Amino acid sequence: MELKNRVKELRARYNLSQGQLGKLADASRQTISLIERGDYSPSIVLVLKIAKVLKVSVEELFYLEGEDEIENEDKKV
Amino acid sequence: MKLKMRIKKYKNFIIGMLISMTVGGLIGGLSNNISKLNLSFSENINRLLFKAIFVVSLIIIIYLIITINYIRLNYMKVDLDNIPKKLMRKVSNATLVCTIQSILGLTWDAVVINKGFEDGSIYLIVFPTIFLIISGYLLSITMKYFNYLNPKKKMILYENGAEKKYFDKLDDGEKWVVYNCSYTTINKMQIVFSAALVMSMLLSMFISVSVAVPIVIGVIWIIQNLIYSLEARKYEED
Repeated sequence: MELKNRVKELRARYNLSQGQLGKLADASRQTISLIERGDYSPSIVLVLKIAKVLKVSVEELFYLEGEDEIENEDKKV
Repeated sequence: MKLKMRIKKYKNFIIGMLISMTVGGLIGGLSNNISKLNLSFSENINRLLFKAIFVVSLIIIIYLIITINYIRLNYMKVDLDNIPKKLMRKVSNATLVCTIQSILGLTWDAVVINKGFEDGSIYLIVFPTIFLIISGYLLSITMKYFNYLNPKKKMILYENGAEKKYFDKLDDGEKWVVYNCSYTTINKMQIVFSAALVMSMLLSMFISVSVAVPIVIGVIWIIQNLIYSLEARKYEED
């Protein structure tokens, strides 16, 4: 399962640039860009900081691709 | 079943070996005939190399002047939290091209010294030296712009340990980028060194290649691995 995120989508909601979000979450613009592209899996501390800035829970921000399908299969079983 | 699995596992290796054997055999057979011809390639290569490097260097310097002028006109206007990608790309391009031009200048100097003493054309050393000075100067200007745009990760040409000092200031994502770039570089350089060695071997069948070429490639290859290994051991100690 691959780690996906909604950082770009939620960042757009608040009209924040990558640099601005980075500044608020104590990270660089490059790190935010890497996270959005899915190239880099951030640390728990950074995830919590980004979630706080974007006013969402960690689960809303990050999710594992294919997790819903597995959950549905589990329910069927 | 096991045999099939093994063949599948080593399929690429076997194909590679077969191709290498065929190409090696053909080249070996042909080189025996070709080496009897007097191509006089090594006698003309010096002049050809001089002219080629001169043209390439001239093009590079013109490109650098245009790029650095663009950076000079724009770097003060930007918001440091949102530096336009185009500007950052130009700065990194200029840094890279300046470095390449400096290495090219040094190589060119070596070529002129190597052949200049023999035919009395040592005065030609002026050309690579001028290009070397220009590229060094342009690199220092580019670094000034880079440092203005990236106050947290300054580049300092002559300061030992500057990388460590500024590396500590990088966040996790930036450190990951540094790790990834370094690892990819060292990994790909193994292929580059082996390809360069094979090339020098193949070329020596057709033209006169100094024995120093494979020795230098081999020595640099060994030094690179030694540095990596010794650096890695530093962090294994208790």
